[in-house]
Amino acid sequence: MTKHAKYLWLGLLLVLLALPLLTNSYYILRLLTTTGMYLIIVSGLNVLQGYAGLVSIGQAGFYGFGAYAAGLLMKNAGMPFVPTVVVVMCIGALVGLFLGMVCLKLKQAYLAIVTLAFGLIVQIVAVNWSSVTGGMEGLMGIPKPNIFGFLINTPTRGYYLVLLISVIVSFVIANLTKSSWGRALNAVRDDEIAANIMGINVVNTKLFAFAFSSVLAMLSGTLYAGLYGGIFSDYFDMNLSVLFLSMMVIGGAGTQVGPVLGTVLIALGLETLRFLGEGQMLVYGVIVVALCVFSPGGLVELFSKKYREYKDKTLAERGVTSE
Amino acid sequence: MGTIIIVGITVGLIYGLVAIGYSLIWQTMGLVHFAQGDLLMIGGFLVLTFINAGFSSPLLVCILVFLAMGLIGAFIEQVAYRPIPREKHVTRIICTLGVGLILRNLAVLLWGTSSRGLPENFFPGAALALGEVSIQPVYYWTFIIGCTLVLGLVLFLYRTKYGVAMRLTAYNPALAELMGVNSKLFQSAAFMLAIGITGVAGMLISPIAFVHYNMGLSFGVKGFTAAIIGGLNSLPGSLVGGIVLGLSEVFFGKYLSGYVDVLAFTVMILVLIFKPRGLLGKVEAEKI
Repeated sequence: MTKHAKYLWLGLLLVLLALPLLTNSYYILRLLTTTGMYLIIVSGLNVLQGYAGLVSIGQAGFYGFGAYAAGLLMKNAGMPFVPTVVVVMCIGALVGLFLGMVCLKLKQAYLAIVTLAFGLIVQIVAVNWSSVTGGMEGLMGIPKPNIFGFLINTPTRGYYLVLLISVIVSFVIANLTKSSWGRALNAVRDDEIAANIMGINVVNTKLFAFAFSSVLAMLSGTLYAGLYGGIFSDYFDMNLSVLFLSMMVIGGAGTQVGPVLGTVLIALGLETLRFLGEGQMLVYGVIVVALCVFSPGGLVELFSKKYREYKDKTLAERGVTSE
Repeated sequence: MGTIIIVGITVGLIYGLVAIGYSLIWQTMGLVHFAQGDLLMIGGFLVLTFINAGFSSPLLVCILVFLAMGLIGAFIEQVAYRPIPREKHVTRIICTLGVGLILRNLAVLLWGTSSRGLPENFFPGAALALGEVSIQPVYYWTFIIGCTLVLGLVLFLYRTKYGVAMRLTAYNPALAELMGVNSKLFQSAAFMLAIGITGVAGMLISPIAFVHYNMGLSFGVKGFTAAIIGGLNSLPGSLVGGIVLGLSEVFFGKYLSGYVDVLAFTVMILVLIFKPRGLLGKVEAEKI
């Protein structure tokens, strides 16, 4: 990480830390909290798809699974928040491993459709198993999180909790991708056979990526259940999975900045388009397709290409070439 | 019992048509077209629009829908899919999903959110009696139109010069170019053909299930399931897969109530695990 980038991240963090001092609007805090939850999921998806090359259109399924598991544990079993987080993350690892084993041999389009089916199955079960999940009426009255005596009961506290966790997650992923595990993920993405010859255990690496992304999505679901107190099955639909995937791809898969950029741009952009009413999703769809067509490699790639061209041009004007 | 089998086969045939669309697009463009179900929905709404505009003959409406959907398909292919490089798999997937989103919301704006059905006597004729089972005109018309379409497609692909060129493009675009075939043109043509067939499937489904802006997801995934069961690189397989799925849905549907769709997904996942090339698919060796 260059010096500039470090200062940029620190500045962003300071702004985000100071934000609740400037505004206590419930709307803005809730929007940013939700964006933070999305960021946790999209970061996990980035490890799965961007680094390991395994596509998933089922992250909303994990998100919903986590939310329901946490909601039921906290409401019906009366489990406190911190143990719930741990238990749900363990369940997440198991579910991720299971789906990973199912999908081990599948690639690209086949993988996309199986993960899509997984997400749909979770939603169908959530709607139909109404004696447990509350069905269409939703699961309401989940107690607010209590972390070692500190009650998270205001939007500001919820905001800081999500901010803290998303910073931790980003930090962990930044280090993970520079470790041997991260390089193993990249190697598996680029060429499985070559990775295998280099002594990388392809199966374990893939399973790790699945489990990791699923743990993060379930963690985010736990935060959702704890902070918002109610879960509705129709929220965790396929469109949400598509939203996560498009956030990551449009930002830039396999980069540090990409998922953050994509998540923030799309989450806030979608909210800005709300004034269009029925046309909101139409315009959003057009923007997604246009971005896919004009920057197939994601915005980060587009910006760095433009920056290189600009640099080459200014250098050429001074009579030097960059090579 | 007989009625159940007839419903199952008819619905299965429609799944099979959607599956053939997936299969054509997959073979020629290497793309899983996630907007397929939404195009089916657009086809269903177009039929209603044509009927309201005064066309009453089912065959004429069928041909009109086929042509209109082909044009829509050509537009989508040229604008949204052609510019994206083939190796950007996930971007292409996102793009098809984005197109689906656009179509769904466009349908809401154009036709509203309520479910609609075809007029009752759109398909003319009396109910056929087959032993003690009576077959409603809707079902035998669906059967006739579906079978004619498949037969026409097979004859086109295997008996005409252009069909051979299209199959060659699917087999190897570079080789097709060397043989003087404009592979890009034939990819577009295959896409148009697939979307046209999907539009007709949308027309056939509208008397059986209501047309609704959100129907695309369920039919899209089931059509894909049918394609997977039969083998994504086999056209007859798609049809067999569709009928297997349609029959199993009507037989097991009543025991599963809300979980009917889970059946289709579970079957698909099981087929992918144990017979990844489908029932009738050809085995492909992985190239290193």
